Amino acid sequence: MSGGPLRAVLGAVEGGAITSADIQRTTGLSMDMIRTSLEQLVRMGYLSAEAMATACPPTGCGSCGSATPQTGTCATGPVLIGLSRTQRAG
Amino acid sequence: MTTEPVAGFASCHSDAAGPLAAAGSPVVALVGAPNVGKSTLFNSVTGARRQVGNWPGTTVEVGRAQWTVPLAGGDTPIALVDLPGAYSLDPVSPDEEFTRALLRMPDEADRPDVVIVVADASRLARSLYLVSQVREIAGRVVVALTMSDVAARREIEVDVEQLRRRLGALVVRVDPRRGIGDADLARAVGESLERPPLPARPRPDFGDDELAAADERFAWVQAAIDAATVAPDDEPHTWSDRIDRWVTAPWVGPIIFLGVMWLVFQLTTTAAAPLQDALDAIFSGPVSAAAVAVLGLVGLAGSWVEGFVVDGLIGGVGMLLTFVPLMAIMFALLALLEDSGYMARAAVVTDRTMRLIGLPGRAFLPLIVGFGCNVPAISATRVLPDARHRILTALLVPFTSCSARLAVYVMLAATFFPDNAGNVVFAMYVISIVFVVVVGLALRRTLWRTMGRDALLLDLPAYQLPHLRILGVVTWGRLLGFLRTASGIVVATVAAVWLLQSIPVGAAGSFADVPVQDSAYAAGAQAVTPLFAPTGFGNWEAVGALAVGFVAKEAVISSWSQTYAVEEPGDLRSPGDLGDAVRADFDESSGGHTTPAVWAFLVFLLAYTPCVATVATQWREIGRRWTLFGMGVQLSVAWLVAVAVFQIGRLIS
Repeated sequence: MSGGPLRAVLGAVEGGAITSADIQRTTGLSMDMIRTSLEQLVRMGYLSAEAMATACPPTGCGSCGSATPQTGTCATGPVLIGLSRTQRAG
Repeated sequence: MTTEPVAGFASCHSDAAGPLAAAGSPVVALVGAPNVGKSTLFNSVTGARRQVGNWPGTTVEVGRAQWTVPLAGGDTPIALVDLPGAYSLDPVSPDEEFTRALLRMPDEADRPDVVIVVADASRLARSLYLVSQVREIAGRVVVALTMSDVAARREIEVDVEQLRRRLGALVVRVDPRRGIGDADLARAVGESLERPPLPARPRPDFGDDELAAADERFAWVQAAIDAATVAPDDEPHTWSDRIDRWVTAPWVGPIIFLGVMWLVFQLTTTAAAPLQDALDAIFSGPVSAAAVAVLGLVGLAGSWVEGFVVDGLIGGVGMLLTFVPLMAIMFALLALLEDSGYMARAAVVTDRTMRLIGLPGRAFLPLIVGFGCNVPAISATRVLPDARHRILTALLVPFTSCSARLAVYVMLAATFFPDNAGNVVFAMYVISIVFVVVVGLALRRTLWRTMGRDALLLDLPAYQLPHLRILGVVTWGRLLGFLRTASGIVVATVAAVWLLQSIPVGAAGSFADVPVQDSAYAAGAQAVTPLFAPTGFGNWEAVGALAVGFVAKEAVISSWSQTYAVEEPGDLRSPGDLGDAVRADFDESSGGHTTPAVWAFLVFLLAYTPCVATVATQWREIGRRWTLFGMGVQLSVAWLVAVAVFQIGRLIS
C-alpha cells in the first residue's frame, strides 16, 4: 500500500502490527503521527476501538463498584484499547 | 449532527447581553482540538470577559468577547468567537459539523474574517490536520502555537518561520497560561486583516475517496513537520516504554509472561492450600461436631437426618467454601495484573503466540490459569472481547489439567509406575496441552469456520501502581458472583451423592446404613460399567470413582477408599493397601493389560468434565446450551481417546 502516513499506518495494521511500536518499526513514522493516524482511522470507520478489562463485570460499568457516579465508567486503572479492522477497510 | 441551517458570522456582533463589537467590525474565530489550550487563550487575550450563549438558530454553545487588535495604525475592537473544540472539519460530531458549516458558509460575508487555529506544538501532527482543512478554504488563517514548553521538555524544536512557509499562514508562539504571546497574536491578526485573504490550498480532486483525501492531508502535515521541526530520532521514552521494550519483545516477552503466570499459579496454589485445609478442617471438625450435638439434643443422633446434614449439607457447603480462598487469590492477582497495566502487555505477547496455532490470542491467559483451577480460568475468559472467542476458550479450559487432578495422577503413578512417577505426571500435563490445541483447532474448523482473525492493535496504557480499593471491590464482586451461582449446584450434587450412597439396593442394610457396594451408587456405577469395557477399566469401582470425580476430582481417592473399605493413604506417594486393591481391579478389568488400562483411565480423568463448580461457572459465563455441549465434547473426547489408548496399548504390550 503506497501513499501518505494514513495509508502506511492502515497497511501496517493489516500487515499484522499489534502495537504502536510495531507500526513505528514498520513505517518509521513518529508516535505522534501514528497516534493521530489511528485516531483518524477510527473516526473514519476503518478501525473500531474497544476497551477491554478482565476485572469488569459482564453487565458493564454500571454495576461495578469502581464506576464513578457521574460517568458510570471506571474511575481509574489502565484500560486496554483494542482496535480491530472493520469491514470498511477490507 | 447539526441539521438546522446555521446563521453566519455577520449575525454575531450582538446578542441578548448587548453589543460585542461595532456592526461591520471584523470577526475572528478561534478553532482547535480539545485540550490544546484554546479556551485558555481566549480568556487570556480577552481578559476572560466571555459571554456564553447559543449560536443563533442552534443549540450549540459558543463563547464570545470583544478583543482589541492593532489595525490601521490604531487599536480596533473586534469580535472574537470561541468555537467548540474540533479535531477536524470532518462532519463526525455535532461540534465538528457546526464548525465546518460556519467556516464554509456559502456567502463569504458570513464567514469569519480571520480563523485562528490553536495548535499544540508538542503534538503537531494532531493539530495540523485541522490546519490543513482550514487552509482548503480561501481566507485568512493564523496559527497560534501553544504548549511550546511541553515540546521543549520532549526535545522537540519547532522552527516557526519554516512552519509559516509550509503552512502558508502566519504562525505565532503563545503561552496563554502566562499571557505570553498575546500581543504578538493580536499583531498577527491585525496584519492578516490588512492583507487580502489567502487562496485555498491547491489539492487534487479525490471525489468520494475519503481515505485518499485524508491521506493527502496527512502527507501535507508530515511534510510541514519534517521541514519545521527537529525531534529526537526516538521520542523520549517514559519508564513504561522502557519496561515495554522487554516485556513485549518477541522472545523475552513470552518468557516474562510465563514467569508471571507461574508466579500467579504458585501464589494461588501455595497460599490457598493452608486456607483450604483450615476451612476443610473447620467444617469436618467443629462445625460437624456442633451439628451432631444439636441433632443429638433433638433426638436425631445417629439417624439418617444426621448423616444427611453432616455428610451431605455441611460436607457440600464445606467443599464449596474451600474454593473461596483459591478464587479470591486468583481474582485478586488477575485484578492486580490488570490494574497495573501488565495485562495489556500479556495480551500482546500471547496474541503473537496464539496466532501461530490458530487460537484467539488472549485465550492463552485463561488457559494458563486453568492449570491451577478451571473455575477461575473460565471466569478469566472475560479478557476476550469477542463472544465466540469466550465460548471457544471456556470450552477448552476443562482440558487444562487442574491441580485437583494432580492428586489422582500422583497416586496412580506411584501405584503403577513407581520408577517413573514424575515423568508420568509431566506427561499428563503435556497431553493436556495437546488436548487444548487439537480440540481447539477441531472446534474452529467445524463450528467456527467463519471466525476470522481480526487485525488487532493494542494501545498500551502506562503502568501504574494498583489501587487497593479497586482490587478489593473487583475481587469481592466476582467472588460473590461465583458463590451465588455455584453454591446451589455444588451443595445439591454433594447431597445427591450422599443420598445415592445411603440408599440400599437389595436386602443388605437400611437407609443411611448400608455398605457402599450394596448402595444405589454402586448399582448405578455397575449399570454404566459395560460402556467402559473397551477402555480397560470397566470395573464399577473405577467407574464409580469417576462419577464422584464429577463432583470434585479430589473425591476420586476418597471414593476409592470408601469403596474398598481401606484407609485413605496419608501420603499419596505410598498408596499401600488402596494401591493394591486398585491394581487388582485394573488387572482383572483389562485382561492383564494393566498399563494401557491405567493410561486410558488417566487420560479419561484428564479429559472428562472437571467438576460441578466448573460446570456451574461455565453455565454462568457461556449459558446452558454451550455448557451441555461442552460436557458432551469432554465425555466423547475422553471416552474415544481412552478407548484408543487402551486398544492400541493392548496391541503393543
